[in-house]
Amino acid sequence: MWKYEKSLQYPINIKKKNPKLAKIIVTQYGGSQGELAAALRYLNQRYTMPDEKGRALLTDIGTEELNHVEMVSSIIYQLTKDATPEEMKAAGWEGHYAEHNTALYPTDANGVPFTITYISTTGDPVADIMEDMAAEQKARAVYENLIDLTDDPDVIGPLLWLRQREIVHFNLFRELYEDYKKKGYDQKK
Amino acid sequence: MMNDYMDYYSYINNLNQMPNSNEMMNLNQMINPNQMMNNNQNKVKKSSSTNKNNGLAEPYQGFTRGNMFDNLYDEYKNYRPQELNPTNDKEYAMLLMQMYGFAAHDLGLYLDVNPNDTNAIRQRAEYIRMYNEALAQYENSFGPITQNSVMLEATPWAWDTKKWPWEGNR
Repeated sequence: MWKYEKSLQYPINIKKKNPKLAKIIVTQYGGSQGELAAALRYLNQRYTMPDEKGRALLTDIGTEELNHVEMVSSIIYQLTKDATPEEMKAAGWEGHYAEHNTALYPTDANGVPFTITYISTTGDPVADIMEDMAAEQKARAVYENLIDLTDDPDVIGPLLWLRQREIVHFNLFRELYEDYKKKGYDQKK
Repeated sequence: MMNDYMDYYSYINNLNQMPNSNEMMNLNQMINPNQMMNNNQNKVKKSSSTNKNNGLAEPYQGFTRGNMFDNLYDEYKNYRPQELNPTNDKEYAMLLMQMYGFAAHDLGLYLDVNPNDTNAIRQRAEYIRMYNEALAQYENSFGPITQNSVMLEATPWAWDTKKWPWEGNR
């Protein structure tokens, strides 16, 4: 089960409204390499892990990804708080305004709604963990693209932090992957 | 851009055998005590002196860069981690809570795949104690963080009286 803590995992305090930035960062909420996909990927795969290491790691990283969903959502919320229709239009985000006003909704940077087809589960722990390693690398790359496109230090700080977490998670998954390969968990024993 | 992390875990696992080195000194110097509110200096110093694990960041440094492990830390271009400068006691109390919570969490993930590392278990337990202390301090002064808080024994119900985490300062 999960319990709520009234705290972000890392602080987000954005002083400047900027819907144009929100329009691209939303992809780390509802895009293919986003945090929502990450959380659902790990929290679905954990049930069929072959040992305690995999069940624990996927549970704990999956839980952390929910924190990241909240962080990215907070960035989007603060960047669009009190944005007028004119400001949303000037940011090229009038499509979002038409559908959702300034409410949160998981899409990628091109407005494509989140789909669960972004993730997979195979029942093969080695294949699943390999997917997770790739997912962390791709999420890192997208954070780097977003940092390149961002000039607000209040936003760059949290993006750098989230990028760093992808690196930590990637290495944990790689450690688990090597352990599982050694144990032959891909051999259908 | 990415470092080679192949020997990272063996490095971590060998921490026990490594004597204190200059690296630790450098880590301590990298933490800027001026980041912390003056009236809490002692607490921060106490937190620094408890970390004997070479190769592990101090909680403030680890938290701000999002990575407790020196060998694993990977900077992007020339970007530096954001310095977190609390402007009042409430923000400071929140920072302590987030910082110790993060330090314990990152060690916990490492322990999921390295369950026999006694040093990491001890260090994590210490951060959990500090987190609990910071949590109690925050809740007593500024309101409930979880629904287990004793602050929720009073009337009126205090759960929904404070700002929510995503609201920020603007």
